Amino acid sequence: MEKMVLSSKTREAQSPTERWMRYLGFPGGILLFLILYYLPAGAGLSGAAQTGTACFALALVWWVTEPFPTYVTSLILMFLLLVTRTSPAKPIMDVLGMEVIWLNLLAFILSSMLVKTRLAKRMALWLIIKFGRKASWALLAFVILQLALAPLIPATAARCVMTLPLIIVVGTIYGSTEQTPNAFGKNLLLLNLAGISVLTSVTMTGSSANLVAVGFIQSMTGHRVYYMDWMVAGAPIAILTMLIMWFVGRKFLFPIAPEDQLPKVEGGLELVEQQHKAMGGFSFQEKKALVIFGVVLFLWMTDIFHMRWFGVEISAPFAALVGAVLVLFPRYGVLQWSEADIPWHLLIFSAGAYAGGLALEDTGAAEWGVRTLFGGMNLKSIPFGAAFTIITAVMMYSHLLTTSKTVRTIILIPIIITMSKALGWDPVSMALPAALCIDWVVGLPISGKPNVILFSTNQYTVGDNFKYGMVTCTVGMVLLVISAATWFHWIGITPSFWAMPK
Amino acid sequence: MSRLILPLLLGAALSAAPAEIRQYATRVDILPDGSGKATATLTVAGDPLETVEIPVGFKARGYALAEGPQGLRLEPHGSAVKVILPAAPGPHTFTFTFTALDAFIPEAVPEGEKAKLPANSRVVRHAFVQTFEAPIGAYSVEAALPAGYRFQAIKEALPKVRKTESEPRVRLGAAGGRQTATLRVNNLKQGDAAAMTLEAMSSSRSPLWFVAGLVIAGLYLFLFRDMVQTRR
Repeated sequence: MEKMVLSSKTREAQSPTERWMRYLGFPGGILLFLILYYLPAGAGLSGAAQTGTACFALALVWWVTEPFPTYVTSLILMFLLLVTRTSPAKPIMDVLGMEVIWLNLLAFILSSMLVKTRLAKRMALWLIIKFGRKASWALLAFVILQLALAPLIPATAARCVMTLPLIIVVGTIYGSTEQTPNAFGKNLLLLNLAGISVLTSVTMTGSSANLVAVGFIQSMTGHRVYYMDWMVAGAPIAILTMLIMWFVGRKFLFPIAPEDQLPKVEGGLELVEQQHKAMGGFSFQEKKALVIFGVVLFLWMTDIFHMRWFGVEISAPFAALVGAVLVLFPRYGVLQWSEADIPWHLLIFSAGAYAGGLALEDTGAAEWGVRTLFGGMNLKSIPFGAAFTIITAVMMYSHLLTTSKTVRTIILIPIIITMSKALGWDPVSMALPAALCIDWVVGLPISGKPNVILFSTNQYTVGDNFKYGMVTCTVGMVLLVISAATWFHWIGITPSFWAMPK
Repeated sequence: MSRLILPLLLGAALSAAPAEIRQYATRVDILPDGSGKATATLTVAGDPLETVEIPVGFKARGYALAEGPQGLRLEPHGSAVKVILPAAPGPHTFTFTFTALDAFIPEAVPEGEKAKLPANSRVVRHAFVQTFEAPIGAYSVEAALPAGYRFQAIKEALPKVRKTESEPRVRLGAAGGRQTATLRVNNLKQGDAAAMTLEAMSSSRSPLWFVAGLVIAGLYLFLFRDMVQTRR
């Protein structure tokens, strides 16, 4: 438990189907690239945007089928972006200096500290003793933990960094490691991935993109969305989705075998309790780790006051940087550099993925895709409920096209408001439910910062992430549509579900 | 005497309200030789007989009034045109044409410096600086490429899109089977620049990627065939 390393070894293909997927994934990616590259150009699309889409599609097929390790695909993607003239060299190289990459790196220094001092082990054992006597309850405990943290720490990546060591150790207790990943580990990691993102939509201050959407609604419709308006609409859907995923994940998506339902520590729960007792009181190193983590946590939770207190805002990566300095401080710190387990291969994967995502945004390909999708629909002859379903579905699933929640909000929310006005619907009836989907960025390992961080555990594939993410989004969609037909209408957010445009 | 001068001065002060361009839309049909046939339509409010110097944002010549109120005259002035408003009160809407020079040119590479674009690339550039005291209500420029060309990338688009704007500054589209790029700015204030630089290339794609893709895919299928062969 104390010696967890995030190695760069490619996972062995397990079944014949997986081997065939790997074998055919390589030419499949190239075929998709060639089709998109040589397709007749859309009028609103630049050459670079079309080529960028082709490159990204190739990488996506390779990330999912894994003919190469994901980081090799990222390196190939970066080279392709350059030679196809999608992006110049500088923006491609600059991604390695992005906030998310730094946060990833610093997160692993802090995680290494929690693992080395055995604080993560102590917390995980306590969690198992209290709530985790069965796999299902251990998973539920994490849903509750993420729900409690969401309003306190607005940065999703910070929440992920904070809970990652706990997730890894609890996974290990239930027998899921990088070398031997099991269904419990997949459920645990993907449930946390979904929880971190989906539960962000509980409050309108959950992310800055939520606030941008609220700003658009107010400036373009004159309707002010209050904190409670958002929460009343958003919280039940987010919480119910997570409870459904807690059930669906372990029963249908990645069924947990009966033998994996209990902690896999030799000696069973008694041994877990014995181990917890054997750890005794907090050691001096653990106390130091606790103080350092407390400092970082304090900075994450109080970011809105920093400007007043310090005259400067210490963002999430810089708060983690302060922690890393304390952790690595000579003589008084907790770790030496060589003890920090930093998965560089994952940082390279993230860098390539971000370079591809940014290319789609910078060349206008993502924006063009979304507009073309909306432009091709005739929503004038269908009832409100059908138009609502289409518009929220586009908002929900469009996160697969872009890596930035804010960019997606800036593109889509004004279009949705304008379209609703043109159709004669109250714009808030479409825009507010659509805004509730902003944070649901759960489909791919590159869709959000927590996704990148959790993927680094190497315990699930891009395909697993896609499957879990799509089911999560679909559950959310179904709940949104049911809500629009029932209580959204009763509390005055939406008109009658079957009303026709005026 | 002072009784006469005072009303004159007051009148002059009141009538010295700056000319105002309410709308300024230009369309440039770019020709393969690098020039462009441009048509600009403006709505200008100003004093009777006032001379308004209007920059066109391109190197230009051959200004000609195509449509406008009686009494309105044009005088060429390099990359700008002087418009003498009619005696009748405005605002006046008028259209003039001109030839945009160097609207579609290969990249100029100074001697000893590295080229930044491939040899077959062309650059479409428009740069307009707003010099009027009153803001321009709506400013737009649409450039249509010659048939057989497409835009490779938008290299520059000014002013930068504000957070409250949802539209990109330069939008690509099509008109009459030709690809177009439209720069649109509302409320362009004095001193602001409205500019776009785009790279254009032939719309046909080289077969190199097709050949390379097939060869690499074929090689992989051959070299890695053991991945799916049944082991005996």
